[in-house]
Amino acid sequence: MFSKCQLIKIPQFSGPKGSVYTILIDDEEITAFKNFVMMNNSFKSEIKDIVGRLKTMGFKTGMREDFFKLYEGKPGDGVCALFDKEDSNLRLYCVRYGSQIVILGGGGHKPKSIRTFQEDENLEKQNFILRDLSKLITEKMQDKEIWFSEDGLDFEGDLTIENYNYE
Amino acid sequence: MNKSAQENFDFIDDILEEISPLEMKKIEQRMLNAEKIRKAMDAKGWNNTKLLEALNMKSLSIITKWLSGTHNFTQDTLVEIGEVLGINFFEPAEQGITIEFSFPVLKNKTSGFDSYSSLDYILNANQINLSNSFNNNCTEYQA
Repeated sequence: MFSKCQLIKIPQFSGPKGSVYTILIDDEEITAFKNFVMMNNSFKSEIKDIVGRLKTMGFKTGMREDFFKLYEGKPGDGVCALFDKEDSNLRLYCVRYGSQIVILGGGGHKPKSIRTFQEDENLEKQNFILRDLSKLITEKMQDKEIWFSEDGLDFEGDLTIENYNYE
Repeated sequence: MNKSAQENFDFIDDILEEISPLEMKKIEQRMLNAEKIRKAMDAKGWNNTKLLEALNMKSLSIITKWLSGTHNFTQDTLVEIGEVLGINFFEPAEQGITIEFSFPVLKNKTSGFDSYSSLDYILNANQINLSNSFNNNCTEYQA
């Protein structure tokens, strides 16, 4: 899915209750979250709602489990989606690390006609990027190349995740 | 963070500017209500099913929705939830006030300006009444 992925903290969403990161894949110049916003600009009110919720999490509530649709990846990998209402059009994939850190991946339009993300090529791709990323971060944590800050609010260490298995 | 990545987030400021303070307050309140419900459930050791049963409701998905931070509660629903969980959504949140002293607190006033009198000054100046607090050693400030 990618050969290199950089974790980048979003200051506008990160506060005393938690930090929000997004990813920059390979040599792309646009982060996954920016790409999500740009590609779905026609759903302006939903984008504003998502932005408001992410800011509230970082500054007021933390990334509480209830605010996400869990188990969107493999067991235990933390891949989830921001909770989307029945009438919503957008799906945003994330990796959640407790209630203090979340990594925003990509996502996109979730057509009403599909029941699972596998039925949509883009959603499937975005979901699998985060599955791979979560696995690599776990490995990097085991190798002590990346770790949580003392207050649990940040990642520290080498925030560029190399995927040596990528061909 | 490199410069290009930093610049990459200017678009978020633009979106935040488009969200009116009222809209933001609504988003926050929905999430704070959800948080309050979850905390009260945790305090009682209740899961979603237990709350559903306490409310005599059938669909578990409604609890998930309430807790998601996206639900616009009616006042009646908040009263019903508050009743079974023993919480009140309509009273203002208590403000925690912490006053830290960087010098030793003296039990008995000796002479001059001591910590109790300075504490009294802060309390009086801000009209903070601690009369119901236990172990209240504060007296009216006198210069």
